[in-house]
Amino acid sequence: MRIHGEVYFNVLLLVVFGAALIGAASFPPAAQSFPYFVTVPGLALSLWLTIQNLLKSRAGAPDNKVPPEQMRRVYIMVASFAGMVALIVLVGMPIGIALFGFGFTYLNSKRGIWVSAGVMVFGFLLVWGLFGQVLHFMLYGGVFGILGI
Amino acid sequence: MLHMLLQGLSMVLAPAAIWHLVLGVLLGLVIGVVPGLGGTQALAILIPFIYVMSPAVAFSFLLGAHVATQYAGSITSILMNVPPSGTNIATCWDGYPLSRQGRAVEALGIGATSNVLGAWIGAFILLVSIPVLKGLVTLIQPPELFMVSMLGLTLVASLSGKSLIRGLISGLLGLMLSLVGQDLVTGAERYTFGIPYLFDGVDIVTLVVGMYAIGEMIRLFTRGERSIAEVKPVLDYKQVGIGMLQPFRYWWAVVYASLIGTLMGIVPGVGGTISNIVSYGQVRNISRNPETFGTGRVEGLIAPESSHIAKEGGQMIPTLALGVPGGDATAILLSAFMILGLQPGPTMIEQHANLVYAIVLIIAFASILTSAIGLVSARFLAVITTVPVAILTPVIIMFASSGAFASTTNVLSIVVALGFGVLGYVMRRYQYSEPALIIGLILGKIAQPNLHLAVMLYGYQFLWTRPISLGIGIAALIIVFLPTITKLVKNRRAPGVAS
Repeated sequence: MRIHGEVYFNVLLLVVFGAALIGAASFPPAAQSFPYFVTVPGLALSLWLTIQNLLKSRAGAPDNKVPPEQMRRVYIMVASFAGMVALIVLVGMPIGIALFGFGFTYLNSKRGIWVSAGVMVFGFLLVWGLFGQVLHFMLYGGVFGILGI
Repeated sequence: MLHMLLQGLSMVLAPAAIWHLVLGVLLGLVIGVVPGLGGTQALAILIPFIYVMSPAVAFSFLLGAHVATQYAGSITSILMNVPPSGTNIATCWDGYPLSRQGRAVEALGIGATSNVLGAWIGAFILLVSIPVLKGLVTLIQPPELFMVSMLGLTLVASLSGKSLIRGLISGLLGLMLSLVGQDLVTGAERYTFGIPYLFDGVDIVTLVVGMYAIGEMIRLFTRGERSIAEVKPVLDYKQVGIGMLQPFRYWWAVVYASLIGTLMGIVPGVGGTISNIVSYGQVRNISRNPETFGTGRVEGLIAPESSHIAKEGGQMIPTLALGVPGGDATAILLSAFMILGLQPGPTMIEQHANLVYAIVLIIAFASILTSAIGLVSARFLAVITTVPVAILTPVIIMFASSGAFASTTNVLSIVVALGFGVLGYVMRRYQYSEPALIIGLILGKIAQPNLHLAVMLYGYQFLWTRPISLGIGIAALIIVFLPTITKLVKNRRAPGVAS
């Protein structure tokens, strides 16, 4: 039986609603009613949908999974996000975001170094120039405090 | 009244006021395209400059910028699916699909004209209704606010897309996200895990830029699409003209959405985010082809565009008549009144009627100026939809990340926005409704504390003892059950017709 692609998301929803329901028990009584009002039907509907999708899987319906080539690109995207966050933590927002722009464009657009450099300069000017210098936001400077607080 | 109106007109047409209006509009357009910086932030940035200005000049400057941010937000929403603030969310739902169909220039034309018409309707209602409505505003209490949010929640069903159950799950997920943070009434912390970032709850701008901007970029990139526009866009002024005429063709949508926007604006604390979503839902409900909404329907773009600007007129009513701000932006405007030595409230209309009329005219003129700039530049702006996705993706992600950061000034918002981007991608992949989730989040934040307060103040009897609250409740029930009743009636008639 090939499991329907949506089932994984349904299980995640079940876990989220279930955990929220358990968490609601620890709230003071006056703050409990709304969480119960939301999580109980959420849990019930998610369970119903999970069962429906499992039955569909058993009946041999198309598994609705992301095609391998698209999945590879999803991984590239998620890895790029992780890289951007790591860069921000390491070298701060202005340089981290700009470097992400450079790296992503260079690796994926196949347009050469100058276009990538242009994207990098745009990112730097947006964060450091507009937010940092013009609007005076307190930018995060990473562990070394580069161009930030 | 006419005498005061003419005095107001002469104040607005003074050279200094005109120049400051133009300057305000230009600054508003620049500020408004940056995610995380909406009309409220524009006012906050520009308010220090008004100390040396006369009231008419100061309000030309501030309101010019504020009105311009509304249309600037529409530009990024239509072209890139990037709503800079909550007031532009519904613009994405049909505006962006139009861009994907190569009709970006036309969509910008539709947006510009709808903005002008919505602003004028809102301004007209403001003009005629201040003396009448100031009594109504005092009747809006927590029970009414709770019922308004319930009315909004009925939209979850109509915005669920193809699957009602997935729509309901999305709405409940949004409501659950609205629970994160400190409960305003009891002070209890819920789902914060002791993380200070979560004490204030889930930030709406972070969620919106994540789900729409980043989520859409993931989708385009993973599908290997070449550019936003699936069809090569026609970049000429004829398309602008076609777009400009569409709101006149769908005049009923303009009027209906503008009325909803103005009414929503009058209710303090409801704000523009709800007005654009509710008006979209209501126009969809009365449309002959509701199922085609979300695929690039012209009425679907007209509704939020007319509504979010019309609510500016509505928000001015409690601000000017009672000194009660209708939303975040009008709270800042209220401080502008104080800075200029004016006291908004019942005496304002009697003592400074000419300024009140000047404010109405400024809103109307600013919308024309903003839209004119938008129309002239539409052809050039629409080129964005032809930029290769591999280049646009990092640019929009940088833009969206900065917007998420700007909204909370916390670097964690970038991580949260990226997470919401992935969630948005997965939800769209499996046909869960992003609009339903956003409605749940926004309305949950309003419904919950107001339900608490309503019960504390009036007990559960508020459901039937307060006429306005009861009226809104009945309207909500009608909206929920009308489609089913209509279907039943049609089904009963059908056999008779056949025989």
